[in-house]
Amino acid sequence: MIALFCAIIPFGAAMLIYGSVVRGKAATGLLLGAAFLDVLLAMFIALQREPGTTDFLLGKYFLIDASSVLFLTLITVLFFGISIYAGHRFLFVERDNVEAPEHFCSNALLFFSMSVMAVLSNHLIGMWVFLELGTFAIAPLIFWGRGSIALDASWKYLMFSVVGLGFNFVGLMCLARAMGGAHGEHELSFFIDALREVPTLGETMWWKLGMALMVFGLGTKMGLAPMYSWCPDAYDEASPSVTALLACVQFNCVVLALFREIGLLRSFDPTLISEELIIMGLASLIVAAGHIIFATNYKRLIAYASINHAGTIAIGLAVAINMNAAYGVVLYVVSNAFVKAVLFMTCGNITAQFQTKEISALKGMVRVMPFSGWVFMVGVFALLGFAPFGSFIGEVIMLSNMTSASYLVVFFAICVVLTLILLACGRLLFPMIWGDAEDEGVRYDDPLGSNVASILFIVILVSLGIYSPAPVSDLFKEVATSLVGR
Amino acid sequence: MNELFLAFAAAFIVPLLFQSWRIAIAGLAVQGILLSILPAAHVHEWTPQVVFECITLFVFRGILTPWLIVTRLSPDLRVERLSLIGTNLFQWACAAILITSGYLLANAISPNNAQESIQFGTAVGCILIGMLILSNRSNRLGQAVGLLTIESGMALVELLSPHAMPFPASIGVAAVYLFLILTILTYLQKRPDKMATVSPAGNGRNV
Repeated sequence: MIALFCAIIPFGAAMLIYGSVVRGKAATGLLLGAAFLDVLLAMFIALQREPGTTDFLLGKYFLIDASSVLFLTLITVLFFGISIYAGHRFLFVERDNVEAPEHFCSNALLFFSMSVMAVLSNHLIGMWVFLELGTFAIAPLIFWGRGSIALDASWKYLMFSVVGLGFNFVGLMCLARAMGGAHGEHELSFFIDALREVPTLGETMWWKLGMALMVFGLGTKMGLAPMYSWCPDAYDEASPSVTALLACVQFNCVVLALFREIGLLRSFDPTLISEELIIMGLASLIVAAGHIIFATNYKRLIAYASINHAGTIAIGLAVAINMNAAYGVVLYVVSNAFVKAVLFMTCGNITAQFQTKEISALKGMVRVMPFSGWVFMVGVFALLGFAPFGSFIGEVIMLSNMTSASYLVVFFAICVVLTLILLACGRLLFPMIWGDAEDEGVRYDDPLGSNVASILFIVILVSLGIYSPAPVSDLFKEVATSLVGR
Repeated sequence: MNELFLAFAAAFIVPLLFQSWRIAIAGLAVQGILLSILPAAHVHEWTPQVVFECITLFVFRGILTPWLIVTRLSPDLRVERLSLIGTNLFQWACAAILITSGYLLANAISPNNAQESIQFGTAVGCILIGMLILSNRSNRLGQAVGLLTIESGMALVELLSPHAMPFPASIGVAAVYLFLILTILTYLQKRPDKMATVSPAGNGRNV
């Protein structure tokens, strides 16, 4: 029951702000307080849980299993970091420049509350409902305090998200239709644990159509090709905290939904939807590479790198039909969330200082911005898949599995595209990091407070790559097992 | 029963023929009312859940949606002529192909059940026509109509399921639709010309 407080606390805090009980700086304090309490609760739940057990809450509508514990911990830590970043900027850096922080705080808390509910959900329709409600909470934040371009980006995000999740819903209905012929109950159960126990999914044509629509819908929400165009626009136009919420918190909720649906349906057919995921993944990698090569805006470049990561995860999921490969995917997903958070928050510091997102306008960041420059550099290394970060280990495990599982063409294609992305990113971002700045010797204002969360995330990233304690590693293995199916 | 589905098909096809935002919204209202009649038409037993479903479909889709859009729509979106799809032969051919594809797909999935293939084909056709309208990028109201047409098609797919949805899930689905309408309204009320148009880096907050 304690787990539900992870959703109730931010929901209650959001309601206090909506009800005008808390305003101004107090709203920022409430955001930080709720995020901190949630981290403590998530840690407590993770430590208290016995490995291999599943607990149900509220009539089986919610559950605590390995996947929900991992993703709950992940999104609460990320949300806490993003709250520290946003709180520091509200209270210290931009205190004279912010008119209504309560608008950001209330919507962010409501969005996070819905995300927690989605993560804990044991009901496929329930999970869909919470993902939709989270989308409605965060969409207005994309144009908050911004102009008509951001309004268009936000509208586009809303359209694509609703259509994507709509496809997912139709997929669930097709699954229900398929199972209708098989066991003929009056009211169909969408409970994940109950669906795992059914002997057959019924009419093949219906459930294959359903599965294809479900994956296509969630792929749209993740920013996979062909429905990816909302992603760079929304990530680029939103403020850094909102981008981080979209790219880290929401993305991982959708990944968990995909994990649950694939894990469930792979119990019936181990190679199910592999081809579809490979096609979507490779198309995303190619699209991302094409845009990264010609990028002129560093935040947009990172947005395209996020599409590249989503594509890699999709391909990883397609070939993850054994435990080892699935472990690599889980490690990559977790590491990737921290990489994106580090980069988008640091982009915010850089944009705030220089008032530009043009790559060519910035040089020698490590010298002119002592904290943000170094954090950005380390983040770019992690983004490109360098050792010793967790993303490197995850990627290596996924790639090695492709060769052993005879996906040689896919392996070759990924290697080519990733090399292109590495070269393009290096060509564009390395001068920005180490090049000769025009005003060499000048040290810009770069508060440590805006970088604390990013530094914490880098420590986590490195520790995931070098040494994962046994409980963390066991949790990853348990999630990987559920991904492979029964 | 099939008459209802034909009427539903007319409700999403007819607004394409007129270049009027009022008729487009009226089409959405008719779709909502027909959706609310469907569960009532084939129900064997009136459970609280069926009553809830009929009422929410009628109130949210048939009344609330058109009323809110008409009363809250930003003046600059009340254009004299609103074409949901382009007025050219290519777009018309696309619309015809999409509707036919919907019925062909349904027939391929349920080859032995003509009734089911008509019903499912209508739902797929509605979703595909909604996608076609949504791809029209010229007007935000047109895109909203496209999105809500897709939503109507999805609601029809849900109603065609042989199983009832669990009651809490029905409440969740109704809540999602209500919040979708409220969110769409915030965009339809906005006046882009009244918002700042400065470059994104320099404008707004770097929070």
